[in-house]
Amino acid sequence: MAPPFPAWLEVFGRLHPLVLHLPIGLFVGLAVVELLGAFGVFELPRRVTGVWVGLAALSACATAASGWVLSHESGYGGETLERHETLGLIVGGLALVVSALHWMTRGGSRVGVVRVYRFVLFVAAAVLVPTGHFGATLTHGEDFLLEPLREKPAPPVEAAPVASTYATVIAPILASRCTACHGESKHKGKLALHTPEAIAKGGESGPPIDRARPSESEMLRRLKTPLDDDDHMPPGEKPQPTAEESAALEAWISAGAPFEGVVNGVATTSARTSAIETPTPPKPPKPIGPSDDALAALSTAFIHVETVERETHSLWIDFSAVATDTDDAAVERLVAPVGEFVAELTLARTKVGAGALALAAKLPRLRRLDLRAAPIDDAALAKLAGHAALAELVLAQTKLTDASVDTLLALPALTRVFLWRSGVGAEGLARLRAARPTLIVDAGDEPDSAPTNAETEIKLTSDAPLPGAAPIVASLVPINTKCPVSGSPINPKYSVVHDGKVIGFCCPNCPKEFWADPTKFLSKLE
Amino acid sequence: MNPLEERHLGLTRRRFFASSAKTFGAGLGSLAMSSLLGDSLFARSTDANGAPRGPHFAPKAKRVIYMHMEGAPSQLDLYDYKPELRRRFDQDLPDSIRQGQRLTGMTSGQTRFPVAPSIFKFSRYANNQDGVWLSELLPHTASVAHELCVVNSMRTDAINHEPGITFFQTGNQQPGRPSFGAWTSYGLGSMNANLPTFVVLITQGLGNMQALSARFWGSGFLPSEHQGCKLRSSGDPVLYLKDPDGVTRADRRRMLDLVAAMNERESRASLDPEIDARIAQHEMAFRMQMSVPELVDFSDEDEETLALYGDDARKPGTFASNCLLARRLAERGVRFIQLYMRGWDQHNGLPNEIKLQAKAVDQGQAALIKDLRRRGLLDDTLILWGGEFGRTVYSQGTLTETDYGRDHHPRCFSVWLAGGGIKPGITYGKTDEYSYNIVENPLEVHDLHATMLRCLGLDHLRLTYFHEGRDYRLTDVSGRVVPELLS
Repeated sequence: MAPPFPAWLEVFGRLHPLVLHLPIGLFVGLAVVELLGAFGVFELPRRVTGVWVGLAALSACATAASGWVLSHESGYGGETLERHETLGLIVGGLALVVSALHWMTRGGSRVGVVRVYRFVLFVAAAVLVPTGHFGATLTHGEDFLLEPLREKPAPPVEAAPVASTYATVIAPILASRCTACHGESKHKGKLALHTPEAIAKGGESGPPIDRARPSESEMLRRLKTPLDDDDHMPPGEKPQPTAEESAALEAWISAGAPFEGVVNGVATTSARTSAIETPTPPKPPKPIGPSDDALAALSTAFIHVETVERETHSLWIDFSAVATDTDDAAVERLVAPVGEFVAELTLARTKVGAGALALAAKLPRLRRLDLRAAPIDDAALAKLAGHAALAELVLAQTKLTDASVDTLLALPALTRVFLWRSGVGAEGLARLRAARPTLIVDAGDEPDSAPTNAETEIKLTSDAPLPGAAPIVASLVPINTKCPVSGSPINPKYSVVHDGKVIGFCCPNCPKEFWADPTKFLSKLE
Repeated sequence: MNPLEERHLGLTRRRFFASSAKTFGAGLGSLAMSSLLGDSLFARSTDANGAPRGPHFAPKAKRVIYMHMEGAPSQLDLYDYKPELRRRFDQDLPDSIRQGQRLTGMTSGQTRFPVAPSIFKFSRYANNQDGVWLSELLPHTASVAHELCVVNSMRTDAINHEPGITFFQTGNQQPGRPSFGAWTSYGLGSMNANLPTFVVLITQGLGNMQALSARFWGSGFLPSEHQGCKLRSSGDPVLYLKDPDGVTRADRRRMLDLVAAMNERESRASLDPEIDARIAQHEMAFRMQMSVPELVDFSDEDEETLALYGDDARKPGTFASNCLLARRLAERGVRFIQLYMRGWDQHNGLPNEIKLQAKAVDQGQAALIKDLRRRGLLDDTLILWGGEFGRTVYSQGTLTETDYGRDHHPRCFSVWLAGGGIKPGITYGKTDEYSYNIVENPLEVHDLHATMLRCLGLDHLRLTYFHEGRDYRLTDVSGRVVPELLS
């Protein structure tokens, strides 16, 4: 069927997807320019539009010609191609007409001809739209343009829970990964995969599925061959099936690729089906953290927020910058919206009272609470009783009494509490320390570090021997009578000084042996 | 645009997209707001280089108080106890110890290097190990020995003050890099938009003082809003912060709005990041008009607290007063507070001078630790105390039984840390019997920086800024987190 084209002409044909953009741009641009000219907005010199229209016509003809060559390559066919081809030839013809009409406008004002020229130009530009559309349909598949706007059809499995594996799982995979090139409007390699009949028919490489020996099926081979292999399908640059989708295809083919019934090993749960139907994997759910609005409100109020643990989005909220203007209402308004994330809360030097503590009592992760120099009394603190997570509590410079010891004892996770000038007296502190010996109670009553040794008098002398200098020996008489190396009686002529001791040897060779490893022989000294 | 100009403005492709997203995505007012509040963590999840900001690990410390002893205090007379040296008075320093190492020009001409033992008594104070020996010059500091992590094996590469301080502040001996405080501000941002993130307080010393340039707290190539803000001790804490007579706060607000709008237009045209910094600084200055007077007003401090810090606390500019101010800054959410105590450069007449210097810092710094502790702030405040190097064991100039001087000594000296993330009540590292060389666990400046950043939840390898074709770090190409120092 295909006329035998020489190879260079085939290359020319394959340039079609490249050159086609030239006439589109040139014609649309020229149409806009002439439209402005028609309304007298501005006019380009005729020589400019002449070159322009010539280029447009030339590129349109080149596009039409290359398209015609390309259409004879295998794999293209169908109604869409025919429409594209017809419209493309019309555009090419109109381009020639337009340039001829432009030529006729030369040499003076021929208003009538100019009008005809412009009219035909607009027609040509208008015809370009459907031409381009059908061309794009061939390349990108049906519905490429508007697909994002369309609502996804409900997973078919919902409607037919035990339909066939092919219909619920395999067909959607083929539709998302294969039929753009092997489908209704385009059958590259003469293969189409959009219906069971087409699959059974096969293409240039024969049927994709070998029902006698399913594991040697062409489809499976092409799916599993390495990605950079020319035979690999879908081609390396196209979206690839997910591992799950590949597994489903393999299981289905291995089972003989039935178009009816259910294949074991290919799950048809709605979860899997819907995952397969979506061409792109679903976006991971947004990590659940504090709301941006609530954080912005804190920031705008000059309150410092810091993430103390990224994984859990745990926050430290610090009112220090605006402490003196902060009351219960401000804390309730700003902290409550992020309450579940608050791990540390600094309310030092604020004016908060029972309200803020009632809120703090409800913060599930609250680990450290700083209430220093806030007007907290026993009743306010009592709101915290029973908090399960609170480990550190700063209550220095507050208005408590010994009565608050009971509240502190009712905080099971408490490990450290600061009670300097909290109003809790010596008796209360003693009771707290006795009741919870592991609790670190910092009440500013810790004793100073005390000296354990002290120099009493300094005497400056210079009697210490210089390092490296030979120690002074009191007497040169050896301390031993038997040679530590040989065991023979010593000859005082062969003596050495070691560690302040004079050691005698029997002969000149023994000291050499001794110095090689003195410790070995020292034990042999009597 | 002229390529030179482009480079000057830092108009990289990345910055262009970052700033145009900001400019076109936000209106005028909200832009001003976003640069003001841009510091809160969620709002600036990435930095100018597109790297995520905020802590890399769960932070132990939220703020830093860095007490820098300018001039380099003598480790031999304060922390590094060497009783054996008392028997080596006026002996020559052995060559086996000195090992021909570099000396400064001030002593390299000396014919001999006589050992000058400390004439101050030491006492051992209980800590969480087997006790720490501290000099009689620091009785108050000794009373908080159980909170201190004393490092006796600090070392540095610099032998003179300028490069020495620059190295400690910026991780490099040559000027031009961002300071530690600027890096911290850049890495963690502000906790209080009404005050600068990085505040510097300076106490004039009693002895020989070296120049203290503002670049020690500069931001280097980081955006200018990260630079330290020096609070003055007399007169206005910040110059030109007050409105002139006759200008009301409303007038000032209107003027700032107009200036911000004009700056805004310029920022969009030139994309110069320094203009954004300027807009933010104008806004902060406006708020500081309210927050600074309240900050430096000690009238709400009670007698007991003032007494804790000592009589000096009532005299603005003294170290004790600055320690109290540091506590007030800490409780107001200032991220990095740097105290400079000048005048430790005791080349001669050391015994008399060091007595006065030590007395000037001792009570204040001990009071700061106690005060932070009882207010529940010590746990998340990281404190560093130290000079830019140490001093020699041999005497510079005349050596008598009551007088000696000491030259610069970079090869070993003492610093201490306390507070958030640091193991309390320990000593780390050992020097030889002359306190001349380190014999155990040397601690490099980069290691100290890396370890301190770790306390703040920052990975020193990931806290980077792209500049002049490469990523820069506080720890340059070195640094190791020292786990033995961490709690």
